[in-house]
Amino acid sequence: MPLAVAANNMPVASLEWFLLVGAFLFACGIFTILTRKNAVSVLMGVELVLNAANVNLVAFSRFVKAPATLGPAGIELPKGVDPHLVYGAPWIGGNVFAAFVIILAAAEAAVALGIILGIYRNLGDVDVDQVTGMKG
Amino acid sequence: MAHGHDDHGHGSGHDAGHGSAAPGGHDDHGHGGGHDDHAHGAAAAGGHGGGHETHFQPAGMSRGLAVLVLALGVAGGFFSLGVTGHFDFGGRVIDLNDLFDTPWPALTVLCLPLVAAFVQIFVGRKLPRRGDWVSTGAVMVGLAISLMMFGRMIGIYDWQFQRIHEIEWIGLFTRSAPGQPDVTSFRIPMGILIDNITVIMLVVVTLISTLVHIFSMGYMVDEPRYSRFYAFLSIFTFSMLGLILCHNVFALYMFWELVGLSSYLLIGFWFEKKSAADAQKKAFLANRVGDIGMFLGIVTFFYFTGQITYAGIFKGVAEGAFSNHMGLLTIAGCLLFCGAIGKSAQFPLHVWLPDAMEGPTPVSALIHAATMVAAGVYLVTRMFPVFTPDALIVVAWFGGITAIFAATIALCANDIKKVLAYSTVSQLGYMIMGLGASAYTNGFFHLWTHAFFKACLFLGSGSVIHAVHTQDMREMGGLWKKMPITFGAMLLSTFAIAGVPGTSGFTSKDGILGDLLFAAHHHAALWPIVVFAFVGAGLTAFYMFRLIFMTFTGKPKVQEKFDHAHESPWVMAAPLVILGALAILSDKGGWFQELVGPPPSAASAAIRMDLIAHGQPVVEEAKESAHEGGEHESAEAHPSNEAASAETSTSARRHPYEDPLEHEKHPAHTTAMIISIFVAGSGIFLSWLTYQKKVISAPKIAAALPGVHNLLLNKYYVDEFITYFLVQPFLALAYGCARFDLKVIDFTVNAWGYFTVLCSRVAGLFDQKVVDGTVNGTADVVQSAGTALSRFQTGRIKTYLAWSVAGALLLVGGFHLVTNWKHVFVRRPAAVVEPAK
Amino acid sequence: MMAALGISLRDPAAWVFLAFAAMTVASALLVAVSRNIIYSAYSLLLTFFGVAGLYAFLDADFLAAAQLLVYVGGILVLILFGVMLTHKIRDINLSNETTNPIVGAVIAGLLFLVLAYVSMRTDWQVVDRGPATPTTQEIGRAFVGKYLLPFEASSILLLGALIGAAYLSRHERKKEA
Repeated sequence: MPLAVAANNMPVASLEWFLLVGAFLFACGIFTILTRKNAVSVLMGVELVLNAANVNLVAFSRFVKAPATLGPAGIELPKGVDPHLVYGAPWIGGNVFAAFVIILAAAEAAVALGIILGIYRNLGDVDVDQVTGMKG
Repeated sequence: MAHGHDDHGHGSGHDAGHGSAAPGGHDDHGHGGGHDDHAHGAAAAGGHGGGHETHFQPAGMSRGLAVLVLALGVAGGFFSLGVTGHFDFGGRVIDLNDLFDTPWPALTVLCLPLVAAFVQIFVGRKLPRRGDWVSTGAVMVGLAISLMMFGRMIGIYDWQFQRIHEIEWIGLFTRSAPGQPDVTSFRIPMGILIDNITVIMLVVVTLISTLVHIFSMGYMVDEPRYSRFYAFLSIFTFSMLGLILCHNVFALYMFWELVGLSSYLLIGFWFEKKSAADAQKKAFLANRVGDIGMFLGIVTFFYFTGQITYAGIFKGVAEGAFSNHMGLLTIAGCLLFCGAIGKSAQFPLHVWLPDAMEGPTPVSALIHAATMVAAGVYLVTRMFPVFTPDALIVVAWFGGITAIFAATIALCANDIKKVLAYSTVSQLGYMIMGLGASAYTNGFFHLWTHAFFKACLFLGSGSVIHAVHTQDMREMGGLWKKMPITFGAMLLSTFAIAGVPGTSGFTSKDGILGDLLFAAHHHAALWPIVVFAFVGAGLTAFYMFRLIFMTFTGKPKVQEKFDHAHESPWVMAAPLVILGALAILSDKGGWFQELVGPPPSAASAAIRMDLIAHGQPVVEEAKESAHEGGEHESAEAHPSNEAASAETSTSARRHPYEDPLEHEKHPAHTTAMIISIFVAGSGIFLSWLTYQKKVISAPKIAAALPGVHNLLLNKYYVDEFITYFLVQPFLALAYGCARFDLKVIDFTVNAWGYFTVLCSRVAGLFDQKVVDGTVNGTADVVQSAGTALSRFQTGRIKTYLAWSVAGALLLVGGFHLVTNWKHVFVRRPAAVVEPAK
Repeated sequence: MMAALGISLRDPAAWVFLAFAAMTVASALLVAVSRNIIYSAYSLLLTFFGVAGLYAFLDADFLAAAQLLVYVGGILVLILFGVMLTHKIRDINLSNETTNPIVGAVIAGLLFLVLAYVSMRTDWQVVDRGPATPTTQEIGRAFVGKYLLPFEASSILLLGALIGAAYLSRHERKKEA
């Protein structure tokens, strides 16, 4: 049964659309990483991959059935307290995950840029093919 | 009895200078320590001065004499203490029977020299005076205790006196049954036996050892290994004391070997000299030969009786342990006697003793004249009850042959110590001969007297050697003017050994000769021995006076040596004086004959035949009664309870030995006395004629009898005989064995070796080609694979990513494609949306 | 037919979605293939915008805003700084060479195919959650509730990254000097 916006409260496009866009972004990111010599471009590819993952996470968060339990195992809340108000909605996990990915991406970008600058200052170039210190 | 004791009192009074009663003894004892210290100090001065003295020093000598008198007083004090039997020490009365009733005094005597030996070995050289006072002090304390014991022995005056202190040394247990206590199936006791023989031997050993220690302070003063010498002397003293104190053959054997060891060490003390090193080896090996026999004898007795204590063995033999093997009892006795042959230098094994004169002269005096060589005699004395009559005949023959044999060799010896060495061999032969002829008391008596005069002679010869720096009597002469004290002491001792009436040697030797004559009347096999003995006595007198004449009288042969001669320092002279006096006095008092008597013969009791040990069957009844009486007294005299011991300690009861054959022996003794006086006198006279008056020319006699002379000069070729007929065959056998070893065994071994090498080469090839090939092949495969795979490790991140993505694709996509290829291209049904809650 | 596509073309919002999706895809492709790194960087800007739009379509308002703020405002600026710091600015052609484009294309293509296949062939357990609600409050509750520990850990990580980046740069400068 197709997803109809008017019929229910679902998004305009079905889950598969988002997943396909995410897959394409992912493939582009991988292609960028594999083919670019410039370290900054490689970093861009990584960002693409991360965004692809984020798209998937948010899409799953929106569409897919969430787990029933919310809180940590073994901890019981006092009676009459809504666990949703304490732990957040069950379905929000994907969004939170995506938020963490964004945080990590920011950190990664900063560190990666520091590394790139280090490589540039040491080698006079940012060609990742020249960085073969781990060659076996 | 009372008469005998009076005699003894006279004798002891002489010994001690002033025999004193208990209070006097106390005083002496109280000052004893101070005197000893003074003696040490004086000894130090005398000892150091001795090296440089060239002339007789009256001042030093008189001081020495003062100390000597004081020492004799102290010794007499100890002796008197022992006789009295108790000791008032500030109100506390000390019972001196504890000397025997507890083991500690004897153990003190035994162990002090051992401690001193260890001290000397480890720290001796760092001590003042290089530690000689440690050893000397140790043996002096032993002498003091021994003198007290001696006095107590005189005080008790019981010929069957005996004390045994014993512990269980080794006990092997067997479990009899579960829950039951274990049963001791095999036990080796260890303990000390104190009886009159032991006490007499203790006095001999400690007294002569003390005098030799003191003598050595002068004689060995220039010796670089001075402290080691004293250590060895202490080890020897310890061993000898252990030998005479132990109460079982097991310990006897151990101390026997220890004595042999210390003898070895001391003979080779100047091991730089090849002759000394050879002599020590010779002595050790010759003793080994005898000791093997002795060991076999001990094992035989242990096998048959299951006992190792003297008393146990005697009891076992008397109760018929050998009843089915009577011949074996004789053989066992002979085997035991082999030990005595070795240690006491009897005929076939005597060769080591003359060579042992390579050792320092004090050692010769202590070990090779007075004490150690007497160990063999002591062994026969101690084990006397197990010797069968046949075995005793063998013993007597060995002794007799040795006595005459060594005496003839001594006739032609020119080395002063060699003369004394052969004289020692000869005198030991007399002792053995006497024991073999059942002259138990007199045989052992000769040991006692001989110890003193022979030690005196050796120390005197040491003094002479010290003065003229030669041992060859042909380079001496006229020394009596230069060395009056040495000459006097040696002359007295020579009188004793020659058997001049009135001396100790006369009494003991005459006793042996008389008993021998008596025994020969009852046993024809002993007649040749009697002839040997009397001829030997004459020869002894001859060669001993030859020594005196050649050394001390006449004109000096080598003027230079005579001019340098001097009397020895008083540390050397004082022992000579004491021993010279004892050479005359040691037999006086008659106590010896009353305190040393033959124990009942276990062997004869077992055999029911008692020809030799106690006379003919005609006197059987007398002997039986004596035995019964003896046993009866023995039962009373060996009390185990305190009350009886206290009763004994009052010394109210005296049990002197009374020879049951006294009257039968009397004519023989008279005859022997007459003959021996005649023989000794003629020997001395001939010697005087030959070497003093030169009426008889010794070289002419030698020229007239070249064969005999050569025979004697070469000591009957015994050494050569042993060399050619024992040593050489053994060496040939050894070389043969060695050759067999080299040719056959080594060949076999080498063949095996080559074979093994061959096998290992083959195995090595296999190893290299196959095993190593496998291993290397594996390694090569791994290496080439690694090389191939390392191409993936480009170090480029992108390559890694490409491979990992490709791998992930392969895993996910490829796997799915392979497993579900039918459904890959078929559209799945659309997802179902659940309604909102 | 459109229903089979999972999208209603009659809905204007669907067209808006398609436009965003197309922009995202196209700009991402440009990032991957552009020969000029500056172009790539700016295309990446468009991609981030597109992704933010997709977030909005997925009712993730907070994330959409965060995407714009962090990616566009932060990361992209960093990347541009990186481009400029590692290239001489006078270079006319800021070249962006590629190596083994065919291998990369094959791998990327296969990857897309597999992902697309999985996306299309999986029987997703889709649920209707009712009308869209603001997510900020929920995310906030989750951060201080269930995900408190990762949240704090990420803050420490950010601090570490900050210090580390500064250290790396500064260290190299000192070394140069």
